[in-house]
Amino acid sequence: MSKVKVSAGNKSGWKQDIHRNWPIYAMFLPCAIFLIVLCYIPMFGIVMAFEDFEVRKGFFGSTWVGWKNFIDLFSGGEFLSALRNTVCIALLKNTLGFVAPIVFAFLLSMLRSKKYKRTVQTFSYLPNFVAAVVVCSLMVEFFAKDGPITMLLTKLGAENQNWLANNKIPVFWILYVLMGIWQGIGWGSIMYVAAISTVNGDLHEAAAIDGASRLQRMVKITLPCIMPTIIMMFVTNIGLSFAAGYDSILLLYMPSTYNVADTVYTYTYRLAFGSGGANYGLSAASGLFQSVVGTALLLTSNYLSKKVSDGASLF
Amino acid sequence: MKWNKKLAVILFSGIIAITATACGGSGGGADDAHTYSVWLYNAQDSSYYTDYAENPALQYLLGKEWNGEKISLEFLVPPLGSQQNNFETMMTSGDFPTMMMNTVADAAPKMYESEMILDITELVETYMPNYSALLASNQELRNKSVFHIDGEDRTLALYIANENAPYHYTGMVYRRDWIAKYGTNPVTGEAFSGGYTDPENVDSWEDNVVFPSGGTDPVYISDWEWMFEIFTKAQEELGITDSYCTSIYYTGYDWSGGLTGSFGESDMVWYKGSDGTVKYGGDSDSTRAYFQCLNKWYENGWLDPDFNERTGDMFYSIDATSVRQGKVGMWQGLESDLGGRLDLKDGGYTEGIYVSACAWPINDVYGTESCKNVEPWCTSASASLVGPGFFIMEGAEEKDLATLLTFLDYLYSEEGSVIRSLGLNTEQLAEVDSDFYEKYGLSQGAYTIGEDGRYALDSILSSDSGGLTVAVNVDKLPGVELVGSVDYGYAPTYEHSMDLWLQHENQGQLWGSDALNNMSSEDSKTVSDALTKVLNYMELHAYEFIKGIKDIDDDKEWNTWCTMLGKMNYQKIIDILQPYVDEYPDL
Repeated sequence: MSKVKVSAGNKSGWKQDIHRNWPIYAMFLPCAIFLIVLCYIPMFGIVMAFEDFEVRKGFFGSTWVGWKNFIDLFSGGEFLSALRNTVCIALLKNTLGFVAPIVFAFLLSMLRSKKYKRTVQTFSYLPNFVAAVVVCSLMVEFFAKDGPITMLLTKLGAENQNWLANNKIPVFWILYVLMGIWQGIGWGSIMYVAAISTVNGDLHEAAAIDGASRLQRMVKITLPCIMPTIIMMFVTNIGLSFAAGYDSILLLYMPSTYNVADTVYTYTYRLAFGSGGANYGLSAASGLFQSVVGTALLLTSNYLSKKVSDGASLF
Repeated sequence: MKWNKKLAVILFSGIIAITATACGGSGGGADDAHTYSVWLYNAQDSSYYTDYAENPALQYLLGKEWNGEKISLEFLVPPLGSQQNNFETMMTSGDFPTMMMNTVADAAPKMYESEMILDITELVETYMPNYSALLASNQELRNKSVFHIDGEDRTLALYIANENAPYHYTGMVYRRDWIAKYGTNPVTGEAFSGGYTDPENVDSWEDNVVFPSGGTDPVYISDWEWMFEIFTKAQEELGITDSYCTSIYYTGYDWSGGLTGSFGESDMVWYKGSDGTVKYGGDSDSTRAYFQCLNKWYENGWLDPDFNERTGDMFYSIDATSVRQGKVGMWQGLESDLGGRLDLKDGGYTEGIYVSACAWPINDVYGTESCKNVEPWCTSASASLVGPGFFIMEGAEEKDLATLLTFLDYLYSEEGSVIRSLGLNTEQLAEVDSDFYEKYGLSQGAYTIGEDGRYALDSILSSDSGGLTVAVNVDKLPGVELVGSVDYGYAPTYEHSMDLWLQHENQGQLWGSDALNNMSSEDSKTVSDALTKVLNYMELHAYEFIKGIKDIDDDKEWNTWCTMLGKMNYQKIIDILQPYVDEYPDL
């Protein structure tokens, strides 16, 4: 059998492709410019991580300090607890926080009344559009000593307390992750609802005729069908879990909960932009550290998912 | 061309056009040499107007020609709480206004060395005769405005100059009506009496309260604790079960002057001692005495048990809800809290309230002898005659600065300072096309001239809690702030309260002093980095001593605190600060 030679990298090939599909390339051009200008060119700022950066001296004039900013970052008294909290919160986000939208999407897909389904979906999206400041203020109110949720928990036998001031593991972590789930469950389920809607109905019909229950169909048909989407989302989440979303912790934590709530992000914020002037070098070092760890996690999880799931991966 | 190709071309062209427009710089107005942007730390109460440019007194001033030119001011006011972030963004982006208030800015020399602000020496000498005269006569103003850099005296800032009296807007206040109603004379044991002589006048309070120290105002920590016992009794009798006597800032201390300064000659961070040397007080006996005191207050139920959870509250407005409900005995408050101004007249806990001010106390109970009976050393109450300053920013040289400074110099003149501090009189009001004054009952202007020659504020303004007064005058701009020549209509009790806030002048607190303002940028950075680390550690552990999580009387626990602070090499900062304090000894 003769083999067909595919030459995807052929020069005339991509020229032809551009000629044929130039409107698509034209539409992509602003995106490319956006990425280059706002994502790639600023990467040069990484150099700040190795400098005692001063605005007036700029990148080329600031004093080169080598690894000093990293040493300052890692040798800080609270760095280790901040790192532990970051990892634990990331783990919870990637387990509880990741599964919740999937379960929610499954439940939505099982609703028979379209009107009811759309209403629930719409309401579930709303928290995503509420500003972090407002969400955190609601949390503070709800979990205060006299807050409604605290009162409910007290009725159920829990100690009456400001739950956000509780510095015992893992109270803050769970509250923080639950807040994220409440805010993002609807929005996070969009991809899965869309993926579920693409599952061939014939499969379900055949399984139903064979006597499969709804739960069995969900587990045996729907879940495998949307597994590539789940893996893609999981890999993306893993990569971002170290860096994203910790700004709201700044609004929720207090000195007495630093031991459980402080993350690398908030710890750096306090060190770099605390009572004194801004320390851009230290914050750049922290940002670089988090990016490197995030990238390593992304690559690792992508590799593992490719191995485990027979090729299903982000790239 | 197919329709989808046409659509692509249109979309692409549209995006490019929008991008090009957005990158095209600010509009034509910004190029106007006589339009100046001014960054303010805060502005007026937005219930009066939303843009400071709508200020009627400012409109009057801008209606005139300065240096033969009409000028226009645009105000940039960041949202409350985001001032520091806004400043940082401005500094990093290089997108500077023409002029900015220096409340959150770095020290002037650092800003100048960073090429962020302009040296305005020649302009001031040429176009600001009033300010120049003040610089020549007021050394404190000169220290803040003029800096010796590269062998030359350079004027880098324009400061608000208080006419002849210090001013302070916040301090400790307490419910004196509770003392009068529930307390007894510490010597005779007889019940006190007190009340309003005129029910309509919130300052007409009279009583026969005497404190254990013998005077009519609390002086010592023991006086405060005596009050706390009475507050507790009052709360019990009123059935208030969810309150406390007093609260403190969530960190457990105020390192820039406050109760921490009451325990001997010390402070929580670096300070100037009575012998002129710079010292570090974080690990001193005074700090330990402070924690011992607060710990006792906490154990006795006098201190707010949730103080460390109130991270969102400003230091002068802690647990405002409980305070406004009349449940708290003592707090750090504002002028507008004084007298009977908090009485909601709803039959609640504020019924009959009379709030009086008190000075920071003198410790006579806690710690070693060196911590006792010493006048509060480091306080935030400054007797300074100089208010906030303003920088002219880099890039402003493209504007007609001669005209701007001519305008600003007018605000340092006798006539201009009246408009700046008080607002408009009847004649000036007639020249302004604004019904603002009339709308708020000031159709006769903001003030009149009394028989004693002093300016007398309209009664509407003198009874105002501050919002309308600020909306009427132009005191957000640099100039002379009239104080002594104005009869604000304050009752003697009210004036006495404000005197108490300024009773103990700052003698050692360095932050905001000329010494620190004159530091080189390198030294300034070293000091601020060290301060951040020290405060980060203290913030994390101070509350533990106060709440008894760590025993302050346990030498082992205390030594750990001292050792950790010692690791932050505070001696290096002392060595950096000392030459500056030697050169600028006045705080």
